[in-house]
Amino acid sequence: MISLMCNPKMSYLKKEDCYAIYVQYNLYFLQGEAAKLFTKVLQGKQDVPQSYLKFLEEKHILQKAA
Amino acid sequence: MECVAKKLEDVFSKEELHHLMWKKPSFAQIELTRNCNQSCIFCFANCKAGVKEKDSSLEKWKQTVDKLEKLGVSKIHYTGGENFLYPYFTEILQYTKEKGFCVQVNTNGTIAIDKTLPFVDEYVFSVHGLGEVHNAIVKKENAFALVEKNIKKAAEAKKIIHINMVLVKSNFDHFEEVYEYFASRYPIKSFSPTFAAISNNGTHFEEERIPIHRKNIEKYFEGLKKIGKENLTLKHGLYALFEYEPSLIERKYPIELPICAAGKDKLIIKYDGSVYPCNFFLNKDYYCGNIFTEDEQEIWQKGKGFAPFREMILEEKIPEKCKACQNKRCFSGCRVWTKNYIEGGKKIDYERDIRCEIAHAFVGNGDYQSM
Repeated sequence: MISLMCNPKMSYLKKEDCYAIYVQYNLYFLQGEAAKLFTKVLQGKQDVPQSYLKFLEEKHILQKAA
Repeated sequence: MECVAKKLEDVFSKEELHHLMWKKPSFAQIELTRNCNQSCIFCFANCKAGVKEKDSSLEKWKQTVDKLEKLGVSKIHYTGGENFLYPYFTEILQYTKEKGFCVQVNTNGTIAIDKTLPFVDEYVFSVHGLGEVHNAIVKKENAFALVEKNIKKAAEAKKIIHINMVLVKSNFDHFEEVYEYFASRYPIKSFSPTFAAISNNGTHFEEERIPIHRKNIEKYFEGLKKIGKENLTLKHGLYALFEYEPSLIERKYPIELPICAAGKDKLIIKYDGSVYPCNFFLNKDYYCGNIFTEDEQEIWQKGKGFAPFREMILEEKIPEKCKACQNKRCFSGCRVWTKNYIEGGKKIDYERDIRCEIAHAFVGNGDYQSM
């Protein structure tokens, strides 16, 4: 199992159950289910689909832990 | 219940998004030393061979690296002076690399780089011409042979190599040749031919300064096209010469930020720990604090020198002509290239970048005559 962590270059804002995420000159907007899952990721919960984690990794929001 | 999709701009204000984007800087430039072994005719930092200034201790720089890590910086760019004259250069590079930073080093290439190779990701070599042209500009015999030797070493070690070339009258006709010479021999990642800008704090070089007028901008652009935009790093916002290019400028967000990173993305840290937003705005009005003695978050969040660069965006402090431009993402261009700054003004001027005024060389929509 690959352990992932938040990219230290990433910063985010939460408002009205939505997230704005800024990383490496890109801005992402999460709402609905994607935002709920991101909350779980931030809380370190395990019940998050692998496909979603892969998406966050591809966008450099998460990265492999050292 | 029906789920209604929202838009980013419906939820977050422009101001909130801007603050998010400059919540933390991504890179810091550190001037480890002001000492130099060359006396380049255009030096914006006004460093000269033979002028000795006291360096700060290794311990202070290690603490600075720790602070930058806490601040969220991911890349440290060591500039100068000549870095290799700092007595503990290898030690601070090793410390920086072990902390996980991307390490970039500027050098004039006159001192052997061997010991630093394991700790550096990218070298930026300053080369201002071929052979004697370079030697004359940096006022050092044999300098070209030495820098080429070090470029070869960096290439053999498979390091990322960039070449900086500052353009003055005596090398303006040759910048394409300089690129060809190195690119045909070594794996050069990027080449950066940059018009020497006048710095309020720098060396005066009026006789060698290239006049910025339409003919020269066009000549420059012709040279750049031959080199190919994929091989270039263009400073002071001149990507715009190739028109708005998402692939180059990497802007995928729905709100605008200028090309200028001052106050948004970078910290300039001088040899004594003082922090500024830009290498060209180093007076007391732009002083942001001292990284050796003050809290790094306080400096980044509240440094007074960052404020005008941020206000420019938040309050859209740009001239009416720029507001009318379809590509106003440049936010009036680089503040160093305003008439006010060139004539010695020490404060930010919200007039247009003269390069746009003269030859629509900036992000302007190309219709400058009717604006």
